[in-house]
Amino acid sequence: MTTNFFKKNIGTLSQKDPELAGYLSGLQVRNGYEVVHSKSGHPVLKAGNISLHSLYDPVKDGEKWVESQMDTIGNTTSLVILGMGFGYHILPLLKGQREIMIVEPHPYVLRVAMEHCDLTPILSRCQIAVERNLSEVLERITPETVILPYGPSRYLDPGFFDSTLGRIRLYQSPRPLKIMVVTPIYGGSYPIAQYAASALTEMGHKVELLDFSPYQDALFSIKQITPYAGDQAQLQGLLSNFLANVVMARAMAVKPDLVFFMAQAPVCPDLFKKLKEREIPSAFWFVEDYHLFKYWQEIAPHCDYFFTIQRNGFFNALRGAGVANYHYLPTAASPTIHREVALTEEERKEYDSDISFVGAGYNNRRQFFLGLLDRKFKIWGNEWDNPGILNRFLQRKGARVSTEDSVKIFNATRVNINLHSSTACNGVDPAGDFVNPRTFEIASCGSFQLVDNRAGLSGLFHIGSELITFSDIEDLRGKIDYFLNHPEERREIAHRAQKRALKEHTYRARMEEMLGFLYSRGFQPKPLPPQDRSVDELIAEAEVETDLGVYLSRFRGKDRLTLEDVLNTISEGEGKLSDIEKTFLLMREFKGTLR
Amino acid sequence: MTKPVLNEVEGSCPVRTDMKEILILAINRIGDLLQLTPLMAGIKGRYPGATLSVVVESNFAEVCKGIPFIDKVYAFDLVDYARRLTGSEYSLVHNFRELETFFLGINHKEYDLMINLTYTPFSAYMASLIKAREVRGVFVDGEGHRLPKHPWIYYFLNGVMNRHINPFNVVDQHLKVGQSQSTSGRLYFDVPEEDTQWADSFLRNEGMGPNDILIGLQPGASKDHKRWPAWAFGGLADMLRETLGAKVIIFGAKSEIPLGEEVLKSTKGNIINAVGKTTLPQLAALLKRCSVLVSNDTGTMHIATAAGTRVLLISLGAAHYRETGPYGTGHLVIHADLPCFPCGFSVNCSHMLCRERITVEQVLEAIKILLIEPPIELGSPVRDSVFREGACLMKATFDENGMLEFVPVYPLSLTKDAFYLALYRRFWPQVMDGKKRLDQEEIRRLGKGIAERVWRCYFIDESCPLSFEGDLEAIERLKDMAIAGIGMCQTLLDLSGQTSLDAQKIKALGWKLHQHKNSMTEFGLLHACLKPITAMFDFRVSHLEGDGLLYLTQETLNLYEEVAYQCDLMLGFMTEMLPGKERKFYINTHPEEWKDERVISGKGVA
Repeated sequence: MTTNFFKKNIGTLSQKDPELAGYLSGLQVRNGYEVVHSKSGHPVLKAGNISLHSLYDPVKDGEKWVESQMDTIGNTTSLVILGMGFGYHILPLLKGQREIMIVEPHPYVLRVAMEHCDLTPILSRCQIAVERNLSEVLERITPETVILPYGPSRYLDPGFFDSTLGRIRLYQSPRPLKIMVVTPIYGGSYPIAQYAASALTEMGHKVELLDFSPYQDALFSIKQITPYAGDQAQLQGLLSNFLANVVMARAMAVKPDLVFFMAQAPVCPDLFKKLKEREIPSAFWFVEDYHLFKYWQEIAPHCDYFFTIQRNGFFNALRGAGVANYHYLPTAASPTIHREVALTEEERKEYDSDISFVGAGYNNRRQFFLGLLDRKFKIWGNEWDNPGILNRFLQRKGARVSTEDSVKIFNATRVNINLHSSTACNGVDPAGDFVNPRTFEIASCGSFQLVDNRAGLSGLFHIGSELITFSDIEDLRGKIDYFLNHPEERREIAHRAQKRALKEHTYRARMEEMLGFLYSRGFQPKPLPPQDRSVDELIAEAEVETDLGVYLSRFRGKDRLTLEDVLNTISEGEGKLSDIEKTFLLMREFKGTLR
Repeated sequence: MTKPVLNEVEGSCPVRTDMKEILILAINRIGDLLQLTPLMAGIKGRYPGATLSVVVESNFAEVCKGIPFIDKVYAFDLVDYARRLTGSEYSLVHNFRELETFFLGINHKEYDLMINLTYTPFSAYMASLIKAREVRGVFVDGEGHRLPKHPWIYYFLNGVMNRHINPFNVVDQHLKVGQSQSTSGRLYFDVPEEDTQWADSFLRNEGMGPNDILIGLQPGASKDHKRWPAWAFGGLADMLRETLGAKVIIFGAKSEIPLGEEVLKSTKGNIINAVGKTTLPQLAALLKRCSVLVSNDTGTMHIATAAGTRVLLISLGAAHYRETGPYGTGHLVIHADLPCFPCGFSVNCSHMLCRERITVEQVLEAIKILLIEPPIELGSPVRDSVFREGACLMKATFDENGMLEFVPVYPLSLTKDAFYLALYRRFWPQVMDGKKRLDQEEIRRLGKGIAERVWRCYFIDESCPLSFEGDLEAIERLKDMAIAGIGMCQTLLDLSGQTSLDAQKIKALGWKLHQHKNSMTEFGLLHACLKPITAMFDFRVSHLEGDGLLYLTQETLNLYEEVAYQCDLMLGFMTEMLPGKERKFYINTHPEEWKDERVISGKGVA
């Protein structure tokens, strides 16, 4: 029976989507799924305590669900149903002409359903997608498409369900968002803010980067003012407070759809309160170890969305602090920067190495690398003051290494050592969980790395085929030797890691996930203020045939048109001005009266 | 290309019927709007039957009902509109259309005359969007250049740099632009009956009786430098009650409530507090009940003059009573006797000495003068007066041309500024109103008149007599330079008129003429007495409209001719004013002793 259903279903699906049919045919169903029969005799999928349909009468239950959705469905011509299960809630919708797209986030569920039910009416009528071909559905979504999340499907994996729902809603967003990215003054999270801003721009959003790096000198100068730590802290606090006010002033001027703060950005609870009052949503990406940096406690409860690079214990702590909208969002690589590069002869001479490490001189690294004293090893990076015997490895006397140079080092090194910093141990942190940006960056460069074991790694890379880890110095020494002697294997692993990184671990992917999460949690950009209308909309508003419509048509191609844009094209004193131009100039003068 | 319109007839303003639709652009503050009312009256008198429309800020649309000459009001909410432009509530197209619709409403008919006397950049653009056959005032030409239209507008725009010897009130300058004359010598605002009743009831509730003298105080002003201190107003209130038994009322806008409280705190007794409690017509009604208003340079002061109440203006900082003081005969002005008065507009004064110089005693004395019947004679001796030092007391009157003039109540030591003020008072109407050129006899007659006027109000401080020798030489020199300019223009015209043009020669002469103009301007601006003439010449040369070498050269030649004539006129006046060989100013009469027979009276409340 199971085989018959599957054959029939897969046959129908093959006609519409052979690729998906092929993928599902080869899919091995994981344990944990169970098919039971309802009292009405229909098969129902159960996963643990969760059943996707009614255990009494799933057909009737499906009809009821559809009835409950009718207000939402209205007269729409296009529907997306998120969560297919065994399809009982879809059958009543098949009547009518509307386009129906079904997204089942979990391919295993679809596979089981195809084995146990006759889904041919659905498969022949609707477009089906799982996570891997989600983009096909996303491309068909319009702002008018109605999205119906099927509640019971969410229980299987709420995080994954929400993230998929978020991605769908993100695509449905009728316009690019205006996002203000706030950088820290300096530090490791500073470049991440820039990468995130670039990724958002690449996605088509309007990004306002509030770059606080110009305040670096001011911050550093505080230490010259007084030797007293208390006074220094007070002055730093005042500077930080000032910059938090800068954020607010800028937000008032820019009126963004979202303010996205990077870790260490200057903030205060009052800032989040003010943003809330102005209905400007805020998100904070805490790319820090929450054990070490406690300032999340001052931020997470006040901002609207909080992103972490750690889960488990941190999630518990966040829940304990009353934070609802948090989400795991590891760091990533920026493929346009972290890439394969051809080195000049001179660069090769400097950077070429069997073994290299790029990073700051944390104590665990200083201790751990003593175990490599007998190797040819290059250490790059700053904060290696008093390096002791490691001085022989230290390049450029411990000068700061630029991102560009790091990329060259990764490329020129046969085995890149990636040891996560830790203040808790003298080598590999046995409790280390989050994954550092360097992991993704080396992978994205197509370079080979040996990385210390981290709890978070296995969810991001396939350990063994994409990434090789080490657990202690002996393990590392053995693997260094092995991989130095097996260049081909090294290259293959690096290549697989690169492929994975470019596909899944880019800042663009992270930003899509970040926004997807926001949308899954109800984020909706406010309707564009009329002032921000596109040129086409403005021309339509002015009516194409009118003098103003004709005048504005010269600006076609710009997605937004401000008074200043128009004024920039009007030259006073150089030829006759039309009444339209005089009116715009008058608007300028009126605006000037407010100054 | 249109030539500036000159006033056609000396003195009189004959009735014309060719103007049917007239519009005045008056997007400005209440005081400025009221200062346009004599012009409106003049226009209605000059063009009977014409419809007068005004464009005003929406705040003052209601006030226009009390201005008797306005037939149609177009109200524009400038503040709200400007806010919209910076907000996000409305689209660019919406904002554009709103403005366009506003102008469509105005332009549903074509105007015979449009006058813009609002000297703001936006008003110039507004003016350029209004369709009118004839434009006077400031507007923007087809290419976006901000241009003045009318000689008295040139004068106004130049007045800023010649304030110390500008004799004319802005109301009279407006009247000149409208080619009309003040018939009643006052501003206009009719207080509605219901507001009069409200005011009476308000005052009765405050304990005002039928024979009480009510003195109004306006302690606020748009800028801090224009404000006499709150404590001084408070002290004055106490003295008014104690010495005159007067009731005192303070006025102000809602934003001035804290200032009003400050005044109240610095008094010993009761003051009627009307700060922030009145509409404009109600304020006018209360002012009408006052015997005197003591005010800084404010809109309230102008409302009081319109309501027929005597004003004592305390003229401070950059506010200059001669420009914007109370319009109408009999009002008084106190200003500090300081060389820095008035401040330049861009000055940020750090000492405000002018506020300190004016004492409560002086203000009280001036109020007494305003209250006495009959009023004080000009030229009363100052020696026993509180005005011996620190401040000057000026009284508003009208000159023989019907233009407002402030003359010292107590004779002042003659200064060169006072001398040239008197001279220019007669001079400018002669040269700007399109009058025929005077012959020597007429010049002599006018010069004598000017001298007599000066003699009435000023005396010579024998320790520092004024010598005009250098000034006369400078005027002669300027005249020579103007004549040289005429010659150069003529040569250029001759060259340009030849059949075979020598471009090289023309270019060289053009450059020489340009340099000559610069040298002449530089020379004139260096001599205080010549600054007004020179600045006007320079302004007009740089605002010449039209193109073509021949045309522009001819226009420049005309301007040089005007300067030459103006120098002649000045020299002629001065010959009469400075009769002796020493070219010194002599006073041939002395003011008589002033007898104190004052009776103080109040208006009471109905």
